[in-house]
Amino acid sequence: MDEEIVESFRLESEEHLEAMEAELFALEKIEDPVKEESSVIESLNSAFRAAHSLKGAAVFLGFKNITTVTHAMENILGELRDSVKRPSVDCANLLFDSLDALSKLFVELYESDNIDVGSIIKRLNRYVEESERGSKLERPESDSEFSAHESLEGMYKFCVTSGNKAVLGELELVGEVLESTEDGGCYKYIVTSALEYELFSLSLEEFECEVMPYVEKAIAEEKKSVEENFVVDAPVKSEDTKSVKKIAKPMDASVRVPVALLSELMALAGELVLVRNQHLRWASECGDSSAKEISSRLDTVTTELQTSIIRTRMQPLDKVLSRLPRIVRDISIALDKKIDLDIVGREVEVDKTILESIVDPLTHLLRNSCDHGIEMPAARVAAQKDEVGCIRVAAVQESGHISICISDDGNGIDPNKIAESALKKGMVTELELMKMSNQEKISLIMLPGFSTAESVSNISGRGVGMDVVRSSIEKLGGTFEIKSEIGVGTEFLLTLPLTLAIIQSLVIAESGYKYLIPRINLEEVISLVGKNIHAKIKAVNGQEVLNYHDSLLQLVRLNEVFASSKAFDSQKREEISKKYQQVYSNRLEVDDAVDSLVLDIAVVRVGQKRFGLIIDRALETEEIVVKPLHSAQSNIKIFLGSTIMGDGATSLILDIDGIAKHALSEVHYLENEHVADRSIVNSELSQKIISFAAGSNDKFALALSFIRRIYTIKTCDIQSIGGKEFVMIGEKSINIARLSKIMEYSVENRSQELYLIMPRFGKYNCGILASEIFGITDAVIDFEDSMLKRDGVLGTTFVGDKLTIFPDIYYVCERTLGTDIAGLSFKSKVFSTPKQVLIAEDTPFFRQLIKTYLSCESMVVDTASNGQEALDMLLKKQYDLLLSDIEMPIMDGLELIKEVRSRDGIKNIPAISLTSLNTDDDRRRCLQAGYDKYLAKLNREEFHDSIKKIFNMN
Amino acid sequence: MKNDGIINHNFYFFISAGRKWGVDIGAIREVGELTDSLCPVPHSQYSVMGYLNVRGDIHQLISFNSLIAGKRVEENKGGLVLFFKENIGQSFGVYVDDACEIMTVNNVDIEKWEAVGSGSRNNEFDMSEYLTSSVYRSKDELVPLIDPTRIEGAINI
Repeated sequence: MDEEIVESFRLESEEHLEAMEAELFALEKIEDPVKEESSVIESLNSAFRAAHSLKGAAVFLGFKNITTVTHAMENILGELRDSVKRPSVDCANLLFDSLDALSKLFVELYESDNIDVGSIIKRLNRYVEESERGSKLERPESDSEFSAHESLEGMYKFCVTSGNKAVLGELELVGEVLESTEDGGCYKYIVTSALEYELFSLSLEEFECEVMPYVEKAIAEEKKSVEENFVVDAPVKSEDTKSVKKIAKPMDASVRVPVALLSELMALAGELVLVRNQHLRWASECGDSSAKEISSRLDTVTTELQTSIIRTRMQPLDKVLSRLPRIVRDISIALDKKIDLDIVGREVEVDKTILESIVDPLTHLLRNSCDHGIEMPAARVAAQKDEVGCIRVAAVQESGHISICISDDGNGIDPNKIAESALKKGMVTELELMKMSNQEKISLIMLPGFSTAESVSNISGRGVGMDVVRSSIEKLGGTFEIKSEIGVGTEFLLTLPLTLAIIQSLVIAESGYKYLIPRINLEEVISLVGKNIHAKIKAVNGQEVLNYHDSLLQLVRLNEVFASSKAFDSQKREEISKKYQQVYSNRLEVDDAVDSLVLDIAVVRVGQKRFGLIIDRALETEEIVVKPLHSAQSNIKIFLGSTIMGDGATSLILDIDGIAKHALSEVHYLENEHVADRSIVNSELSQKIISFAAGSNDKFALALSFIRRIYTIKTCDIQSIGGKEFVMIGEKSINIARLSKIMEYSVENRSQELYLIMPRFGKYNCGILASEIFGITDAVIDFEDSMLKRDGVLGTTFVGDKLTIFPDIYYVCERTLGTDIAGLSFKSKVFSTPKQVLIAEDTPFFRQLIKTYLSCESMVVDTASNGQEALDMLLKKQYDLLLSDIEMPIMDGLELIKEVRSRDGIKNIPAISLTSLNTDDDRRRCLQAGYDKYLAKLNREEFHDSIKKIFNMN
Repeated sequence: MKNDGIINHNFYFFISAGRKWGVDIGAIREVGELTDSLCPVPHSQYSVMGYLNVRGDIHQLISFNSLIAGKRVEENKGGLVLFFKENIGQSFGVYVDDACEIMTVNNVDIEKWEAVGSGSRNNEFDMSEYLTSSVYRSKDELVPLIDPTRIEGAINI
């Protein structure tokens, strides 16, 4: 078998398979097939022709399995076309599955006849049989001239003349001989065949016969055209003279070129660019006008040549994007979801290598959006969304790169769920999580091996997802980031270079040498001048930062990165920070010419990491050809490669991701803070607590669910104004609450590094100062009644072997800020009849906490540790209010309220659910079950307001 | 060149690390001077001086002095670069202090060098032993003849 012809067949088959898939999708999208009958016919015709062409070539080349599958598909498509029917969902599924089967056969083309296709053939044949039985009455008789004409649709007719009679036997193998005449030893046949002209002629090559497409009017013209041209277009109806003219394309319309040759041309163009750069520099330096003229011409020609060669490797994104509807369709059916896919920017072109490399990442992201993003129709309706979810894939070309955004209007990513999962897998510690913003928590999804999916499915959630996507994109020199909002949706943003070989870059100077920053990583270059350098660069936790667009930008000094091959730790970062603070301070003191100091900072970005790279000077932009590092240096991660500059010197290209990994902390917690949205669910009796010291003698603890975040601060950063202390965190000043001042505990020791614990609920711009964080532990908190009680203390209990004080974080903050503490207390309220309140809560800590919050002379509070106990108490005694947890043993809060609402005598009691379950779905379930109010456990302000409303205390 | 069982070899002799060394001239592609376009490669091995553009091809430049000393040695700029042929290794050059002579040496005067423990002596690695494949014995001195194919591997030792 001629390998060249087989390869040509394989390449053309891709186009035919794509065409069939596109037409099947087009048919599915037609809303009213009756009104849009012409569109239905057009699509069916196109799909039929593609199947037919495939079959024809497969017959000729002897690929039996491909022939059988395409033949059966052709039958179905022909049947549909004849009856002008759009395929049913079952039929479309069958045709799509057949396309998949064909694709597999083409992958192993030479072995295709050994692949088992029995199952799909059986399904296809069964469908044809059933269809024939169903439509027998509707079908016209097939012996008329009209039906004969129809049966020829998609077939080619040829006129074959030969002096050799034996050719007849050959013709019968590849087609149907319609007419046969003999004239003085010259035989003439009219043959109809599925083979295209090129293949048909080849099959008869050894018989010395003349073959012509049989279209009488156009025959002369066509004969000439076919002889002159080799490339044959898609098959057309042989009776259509106008179409016949389209059979042959002009010679220069297209030509298949091996990709390796294009790559070689690309590499040569790259070398030419370097020579051009050198020549340009030389010409501008030598001052010779002729040299300049030649150089200018060389520049123009090189640019045009380079652009043209790049274009030969560029392919429209549609090659990849056109596969996406099928994925969405299949997943929608598999998961019983309704999903619309909107694709924008199919025409955007990108280098073939990049195009091939993004197939898997794009497919994975789309699957992820379908599987994890878009909700089930009922859930969407309940969330007041359209039941049909929408995924949008939008590609745009920007300066030197393309951006692809995959967004969905689904459920979004819950940062706390991600955090919980990462914690369970030991990827982060609880303390690290406390310091993370929501965006940083979402980024944990990109850690290797991360997956929140409870089970491995065919759709997504194999635990090898996002990290593979990120590394694939970063390997291409691109970036990957995720943005998400709960209930609103998720956005995956990929940024990719247009081509890999030649990139735009910024030339910078550092330590006397030139280096290059890829343009795709560069956001902007900012210059700090004179005293601004000292004023704007600050140290936070030992890390140099710059106030940049309302956020803190971490800074990395390139000279320090070069000087140390060991990745920086916090000590090293602090050392660098101190060193330069000292340098600037010294300059300010002794140097009057400080105004002349200039510091260039390249603001660079890779994925979601953005930082400032301090360089000596930004010079110019230059187009460069990336050459790999010498194999002996391949382990150096701070360089992407090397290149030859216009002046002939060699320069190194910076790997921004490598530099970030070398110089920055893995956990970035300096960005603007985000309020956590979800409580940590803990239905056990034990409570997660964080224990800390605020002085040398006493040990304190707070329930983790009461804490939003912990900042690390320096003693020297604490400022005092008007008797109040505060510290700047980013742009915000935060008040400092010292337990020693509020509750007369032992004074904080004078450690250099302190911690600021921020409350989770409320709008307090205040945090409790801690001198040491001991860690996070699980503890059953049952406050000791005998222990000392005082204002601001929820209680004391033994944690481990040490008596631990649980301060009331809200009390402490309110006292520090000087707000009206009494406003959040019921102490001053006196009711004519004492209010009876029942608390159903299994966790002793919360039971006591709620009791403390309700502490009031005219409020009688009883407690139950589960729903059943609460129900029994309700039936025995009359209560004015029920406060209940949801997750409880024996009888949960939902069952309890259903029982309460169904029983006379107690069914009208006001009831509030207090729970850590905090999703919209949880809220809906609680309210539907019968609670009057749903409160997050435990937002004191909200709790206080709700109680006040129920007892008309305003 | 063969004559009555005597085979002649051409060697390029150079000075570096305070002594004379020899290398088969058949391995050398060209000898050049160090230009200003040398680009240092931060985080690279102590013996790697940087990258150099030689007619559009980027070469790694290795300091022979540093290699022998086992630590980075500041080079003066008056030395020479020996660029080796492709079959010796991936585009690299070796920076030496000075050229000495090109001499034809017959095999009678060359003694195969049996490195003690593959480059180690007294349990300490000796780079000069590792690189030496044979020794040229002249009237008044012994000159180590290096195996240039070992240079690239040596930078990672």
